[in-house]
This record gives sequence, structure tokens and C-alpha cells, in this order.
Amino acid sequence: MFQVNLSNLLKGKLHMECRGDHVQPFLNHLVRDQIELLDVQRDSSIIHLTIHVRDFRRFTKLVRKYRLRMRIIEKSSGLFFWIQAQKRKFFILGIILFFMFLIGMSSFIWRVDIKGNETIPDEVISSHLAREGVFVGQLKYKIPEQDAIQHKLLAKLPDASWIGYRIEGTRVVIMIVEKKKEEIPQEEIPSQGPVHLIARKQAMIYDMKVLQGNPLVEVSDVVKKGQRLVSGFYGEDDAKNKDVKDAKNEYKKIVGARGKILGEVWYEMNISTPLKQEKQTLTGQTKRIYYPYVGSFILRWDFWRKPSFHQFVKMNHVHPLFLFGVRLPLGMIQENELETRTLHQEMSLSQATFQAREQARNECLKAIGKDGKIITEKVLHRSVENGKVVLKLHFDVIENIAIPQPILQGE
Amino acid sequence: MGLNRQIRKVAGDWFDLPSDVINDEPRVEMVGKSRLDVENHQGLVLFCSEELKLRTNRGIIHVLGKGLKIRMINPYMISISGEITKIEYDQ
Repeated sequence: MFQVNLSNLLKGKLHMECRGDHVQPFLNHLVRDQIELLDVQRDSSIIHLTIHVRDFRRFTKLVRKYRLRMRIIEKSSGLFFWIQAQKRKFFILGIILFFMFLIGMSSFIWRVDIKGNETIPDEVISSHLAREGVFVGQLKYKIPEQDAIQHKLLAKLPDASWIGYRIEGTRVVIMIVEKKKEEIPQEEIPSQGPVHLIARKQAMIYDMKVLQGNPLVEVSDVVKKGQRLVSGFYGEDDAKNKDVKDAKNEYKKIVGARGKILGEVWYEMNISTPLKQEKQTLTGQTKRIYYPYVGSFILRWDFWRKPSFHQFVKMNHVHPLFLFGVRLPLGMIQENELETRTLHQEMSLSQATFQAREQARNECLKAIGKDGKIITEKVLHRSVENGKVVLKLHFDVIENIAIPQPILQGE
Repeated sequence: MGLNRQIRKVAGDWFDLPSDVINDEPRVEMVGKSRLDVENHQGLVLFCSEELKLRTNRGIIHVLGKGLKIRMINPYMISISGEITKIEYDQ
């Protein structure tokens, strides 16, 4: 219908009123001059019409030519967008709402990423962060300064040596560098009260870990049995000059020695292993027998039953009855009879020696405790007597040689 | 002009084209009583709220009615609204 021209829409329109005697020829002239007119209305000598702004100059020429009086009633803005906008209010509202939504949503923190922590749990860090005001759902502008957060978090997380913090859009990234833990925590060596530490046996000091007290020896010293290694007195150790018996001496304070003194000790061990050995092995044949029991009373009725195997071991499993998750004082005992067989084994000399050394090593480790370790091990002598391998072994070990000695009053 | 018109007519018949496209003949379209569109007019002769005269190559189209209003006029077409009571060709 209408030739809707984009350029027409982009340009403005003018609503005019013209009055005068020569309205009709004026109108005819306008049409002849190819000026597009819209909404033309005529009341004898008054004419209302709308023209495009681009035709305004030609229009006014003709107005003057026909001696009309002209008046602009309404100017409508030329912007196409504005014309459309007036028609589509909700569309414009939608656009505005969309941008508001976008800006609004992007001003929140949507995610908090914690990176680099190995021992500190995420929950601990995020709870500290939340207390500082960094959490999911927080407004971005409410987040405190970067330096403040780093400082406060460092103070709260003693295990962290450095904390990095940055905001990437709606994401908060926390980088944590943890401190390396000390190898031996202090708790491993228990306190024994007001004691000195003395040597349990003759040894050469290999290493000292003194947590409390005053060490009297040094690494590489050779100590005798009973020698005091660490003094339980704290303070200036001028025992030689001052009267030790003076308990009121202000320089001395009994703290009790605490620590480990690792000394190098020699062990000699004799061990023997028979070359012929008997071993019990399971054959895989089993028999299961069930007995009911009530309390501690077991119902058995098969005492006259012959044993199922010539050689066997018994293994019992108790299967109590449960009622709604409550254990009842009755149930079944499952007795498994496992058939065994005796194996006669004859070992070679080297095999027996190997076994004996293994056994000796285990015994030695058991003797020197959990702090001890074997440095060297040497076979001093080997002989075969009465079907047995007899070994004489030498172990060079490191063990804790310190034992506590109570500090006696008046000492 | 006469020859030109005849060639056009033959061509129009040959290609089965409507004569308003070929011959610049006025095409008048009326919707109910309230709306009238005329294409291929050759200018306005008279316009007031009761009467409108339009020049075409087939003579003058004379429109009578009440409260007539030109919705739009440009060199190619005119669109009129109002209560239209009569349309005729004045030779």
C-alpha cells in the first residue's frame, strides 16, 4: 500500500496549517511539483497537511507564491528508532531491563576458586573468606581491598606462606602457597617430667634432638653407661663453680630434660637355624560345623563325632542374630576345620643362613626400638653343628640411648 | 502516441499483463465506503471535504463524499479516506 521508504522514516515530518484565498491552486501545484503530502484535510480556506522535512524549502516557496499564511503545528522527531520505540514500548523496556539485568548480575561474585592448597581444607579457607566478606553472592563493590584480604587471611592461616587474591569478572581466585611442614613435630617426644637424660649404654653420639634441657655432650662424643647427657636444669650451667645443693639458686630452674640422643652402638648376636624344618601348611580341605549359642552357653551335641581330618586347625566365627539393628545374645558359631599337612623341608646352607640373618635382623630391630636403624651388618662366623647353622653376627646400629633419671631433691 | 499505445496494448495482450501496468491506466481500489486508492493519477484538480477531482489519462475521476481526507498523495498514487458516496468519470 504505502511505499514505506526508510529514508522517509529517518527524516522528520511537519504538520502544517495553511490559510489563504488560493488554497486549491496551491494544493494542485504541490502535487504537480511532486511533493508528497500526508493527511490532507481542507476546510474551505484552511488546509491541514503533513510534509516531509526535506520538502520544506520548496513548500515555503509555494506558500509565498500563493500568499498563504503558514503555521507549523507539530514537529515529529525524525529518528526511526524513536518512531518505533513509541510503538513498541515493551520492547524498549525489555532492552533496558536486559542491560540492567546484565549489569546487575555481573556485579555479584558467582564463584570462589581456591587453588594451591594441599593440607588446608577448602572449607576452612572459604569460611575465613566469608568472614572477610568474600563469598558467592556478595556484591563486588562490597569486597574489601586486595591487600587487606591478603593480610588478614595470612594472619588467620598460619600454614600458608603466601596468599594471592584476584577478581576475574565474577570469579574470585585465591592462590595459596603452603608452608613446608617440619619433619618431626614436637609432640613425638613425650615429656617425662623433671628428669635428666642419661646414657643407657656405652655409645658414640650420632645425633641429638634436645627439646628441653641443657645438653652436656656433643655429636661424636663417646659416652659411658650412666653418663648424664642432658641436664634437666635450665639456665647457666656453672655447676662446677656454684653450690648445686643450693636449691634457691635463682639461676637454675628445673625444667626437665626432653629429647632424643641417638648413639651408635655395636651388637653381637648368636643365632642358629636348623637345616631340616617342619612346616604346617593348609591343604585347602575345610569342613564347616554350626552350633547355636545362647549367652555364653554353647549347644553342642556332637562330642562323639570323629574328627573330620587327621590333622587340622580350628577357626571359629561368631554370627550373632540381629533384630532391628540390635545384637541379640544368641546366634550361631561357625567352626571351620581346616586340614593341614606337615611339610618336611631341607634347606641349603645359604638358604638357612639367609633365614637366620633375617631372623637376627628382626630381633635386633625389635631390641633397638622404633628410633633405631641398622647401619651395617656383618657375619663374623658361620658353622654347621648338629644339623644347625650357627651364625655369629655383628650389627652396627643407631638407637636412642637416652633414658630418664629423676632429679632428686638435694642432689 | 497512438502507435505507441497500440504496441503497448499488443505487448500487454501477448504477455498477459494487466493494462494498468502497461498503459498507465488508472487503477482504482476501494475498500468499503471509507477508503479509496487511485494509482497512476496525473494530478489533483479539486479537493475539499465533500468533493475530489483527480486527473487521469482516461478523464477526470470525480469523488463525492463527506469528510474527505487525503491520507497520502504522491506522483504515483493517492489514498483517500472519509465517507465516499459516489465515484464517476467526467469526460
